[in-house]
Amino acid sequence: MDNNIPYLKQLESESIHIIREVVAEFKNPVMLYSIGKDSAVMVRLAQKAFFPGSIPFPLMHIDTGYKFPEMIEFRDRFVKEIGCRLIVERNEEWIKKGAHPQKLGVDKCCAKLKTHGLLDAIRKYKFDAAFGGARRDEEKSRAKERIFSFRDEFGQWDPKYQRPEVWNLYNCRINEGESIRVFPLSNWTEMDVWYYLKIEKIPIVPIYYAQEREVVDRGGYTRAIQ
Amino acid sequence: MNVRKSGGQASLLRFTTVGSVDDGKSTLIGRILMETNNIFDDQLDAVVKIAKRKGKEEIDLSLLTDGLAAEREQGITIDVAYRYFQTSKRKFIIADTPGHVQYTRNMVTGASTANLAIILIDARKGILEQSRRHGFIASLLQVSHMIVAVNKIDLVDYSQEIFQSIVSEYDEYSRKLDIRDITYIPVSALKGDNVVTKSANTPWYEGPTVLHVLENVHIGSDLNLHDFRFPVQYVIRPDHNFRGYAGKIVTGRIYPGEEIVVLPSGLTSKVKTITTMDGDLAEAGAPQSVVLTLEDEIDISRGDMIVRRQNLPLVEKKIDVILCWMGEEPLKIGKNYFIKHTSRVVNGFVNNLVYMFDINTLHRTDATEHNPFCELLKTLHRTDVDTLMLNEIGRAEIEITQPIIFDQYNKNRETGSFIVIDPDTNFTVGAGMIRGAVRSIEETIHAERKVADTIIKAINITPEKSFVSLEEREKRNNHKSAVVWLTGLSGAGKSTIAKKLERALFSMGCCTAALDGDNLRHGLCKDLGFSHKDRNENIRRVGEVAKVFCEQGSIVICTFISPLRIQRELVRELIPDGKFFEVFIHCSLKTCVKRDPKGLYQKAIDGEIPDFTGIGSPYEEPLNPELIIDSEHRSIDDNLKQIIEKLQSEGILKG
Repeated sequence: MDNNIPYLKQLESESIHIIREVVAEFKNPVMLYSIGKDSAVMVRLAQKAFFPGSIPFPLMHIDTGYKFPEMIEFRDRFVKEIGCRLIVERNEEWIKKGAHPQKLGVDKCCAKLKTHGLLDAIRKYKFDAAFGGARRDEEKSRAKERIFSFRDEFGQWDPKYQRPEVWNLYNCRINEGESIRVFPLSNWTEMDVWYYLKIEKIPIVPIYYAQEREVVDRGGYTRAIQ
Repeated sequence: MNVRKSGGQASLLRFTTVGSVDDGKSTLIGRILMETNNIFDDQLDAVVKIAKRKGKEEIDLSLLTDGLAAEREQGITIDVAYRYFQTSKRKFIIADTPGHVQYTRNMVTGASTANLAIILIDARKGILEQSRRHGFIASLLQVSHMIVAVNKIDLVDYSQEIFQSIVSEYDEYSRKLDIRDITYIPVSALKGDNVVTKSANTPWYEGPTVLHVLENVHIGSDLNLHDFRFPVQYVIRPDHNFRGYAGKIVTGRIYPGEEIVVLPSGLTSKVKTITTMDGDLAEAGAPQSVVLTLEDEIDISRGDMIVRRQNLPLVEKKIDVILCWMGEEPLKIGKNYFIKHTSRVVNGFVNNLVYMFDINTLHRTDATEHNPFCELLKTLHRTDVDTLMLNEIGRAEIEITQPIIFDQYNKNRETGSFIVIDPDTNFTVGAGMIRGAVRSIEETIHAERKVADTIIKAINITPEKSFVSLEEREKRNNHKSAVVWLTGLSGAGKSTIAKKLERALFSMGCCTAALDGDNLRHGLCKDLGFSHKDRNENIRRVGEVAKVFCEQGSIVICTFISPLRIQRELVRELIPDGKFFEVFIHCSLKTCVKRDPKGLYQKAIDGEIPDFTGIGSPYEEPLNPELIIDSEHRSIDDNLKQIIEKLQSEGILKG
């Protein structure tokens, strides 16, 4: 008997465990859906977590107004196929003001459209937990992010007040108005995401494959150049 | 993108690195990442540029992992950082734990999921207290494998002697730890010796490199494959035809058709299917997340645990635990906390803090008995305390409002661990490891009796009834049967009174029997010693013998110190109502010590007899005895008269 189950299966199982914990302990969770590859993996994991039932929470797309039309098309078809409810939130105020990455800079534009959009939506729908597809390998500052990341009633993330995460026991307790961001893909790397998409034959927006990335052969496996 | 065929198939090793600021931890990780080609070229270029600018020959590898300066600017606290890399053999998750601030909290977090711990020791400094502390925590958290990296070996001229002396010293210490597998490696993270490639500078070292251990350490057997444990996370009911129980198999394996039992309800059924979106499975094992369906429709909800019928965990409300405190607010004894254990959240409180480990002054006493998990605890320096502060570790007893279903942590990390949540702040304030159940003497006796009752029921023993009834015997004896239980301190006068009482009753024509500690311990109870358990068993047997005599019509005079109320209560339960007379022979300890007829008090005071009642262990005076006899101030004849009058007034003897 091979006891070392392939690591991707192990990561998959751990992510499913995380998603189920949230649904079992929170009243009103939501999964952020960006139409991207990480979202695609996260939605597949959610499907697996509740099979043969369907995903017991809505997906939410924070629409910045700057997505390609084929992405929106893909999104609507995909959500219909998997039988999931979709919420689309647009920060109309800022879109109207003309928030644009080239005008405000990517960071500021993102903050206005995505972050504020998300906070507004969380308040509007009273979501107490929001799944996000962020990974710890994305950048150094994320290496210390928790899987269950606590946000106060203003949606603020206080790094000094994050809860220790011991074993696989996740503290799901919050007060009224507070919320938790949950990152089921915390321990996945970008390569893991690509492998999983391939193994699971998960459809993603063709735009991902539109441009070749420069890669190097690194002693037997392939690395993308950042 | 070119995705390799074997992608995702390799095994996963989680390890934690511990060491202080200057031990070279970041450099070691940077070295591993660089030499296994897990660093992007632009990242490497940046580090090379910094070195050139500073006019240094060697690049600072720690810059590849250390976000410290940046973190300080961002106000991010010193915390466990997770890093990822991969070789063709394995995928690795590193929990990088800083050694200086919030030390215990971080290391406990990092070690809790690790298969292996790398402990760094600076070859120049040798073994410091903290090196021992690191080993202690790794052991406490039951990390199975450990690499002791003796770093900066280049700065001691690759000295074999220095390496060897560190190895022997740490090896001596580690015998107390419960770590099965320790590999010592002389390394220079800075120069790369024995990190990824074998060094020519240490020809005397024949062992593996750090990476070799990481890639090849056998972790398959770390998984508990025997004890099937399935905490139910969520019930899936998409329609009336399907009812499945979602969860992660935390340990063990399961097959369709196997008999299972649901705890705590005890309901039984068989596994019908192991359902997943990838199809039903013919078998499943840890750590898979699956959905189980059962043959029978039974009531199961989140927090229940499905296990195999022949392999049960423990179900208890009082647990004996090792508790690591992680809250800014100190632990409050008696305060209500939430305890999250497997998929269950229950209310509980610490009702007793047994001691605290002084991890700053770990004593290095030699262990004699080899029982690792317990032995380690025994040999450590302990301090009596009434609270635990942030980063302190202690042993405590926790009471929970509902029973939890667990295994001991050293047998099962998944079902033996829990977190403590403060209901006022919702913060995770503690991490606990269960050592076992806490049982008082009373509960132990009751539990044992319950087991005995079950066995008797199981093998269908029905007591034989005598053809001669008790009523007939009592009529002929001209008195009723009874048990007169004389209790009191050694030297209170129990035996003297018993002898006189028996003689008096016999003279009156009564049918009597006398039982005392000395006569039974030479025969019926000669297999018993003086442990709590044996003393309780001794009293239980006496009670049973007294009951037999009582049923045959005798007045049974029992003379036993029987110091605990529960012991006497249990005998009382055996004897029919109205026939049990608890007679408390009252005499002050001072007088008893003065009398000391057998010289036992002196021996107890000299420490020769431990746990002697009144000296080393308590005597619980009866709360509602049938009779209190004052043997200190009243004459023996008075005492006797008092007992006989009592037996008359209660109708045992005719007036």
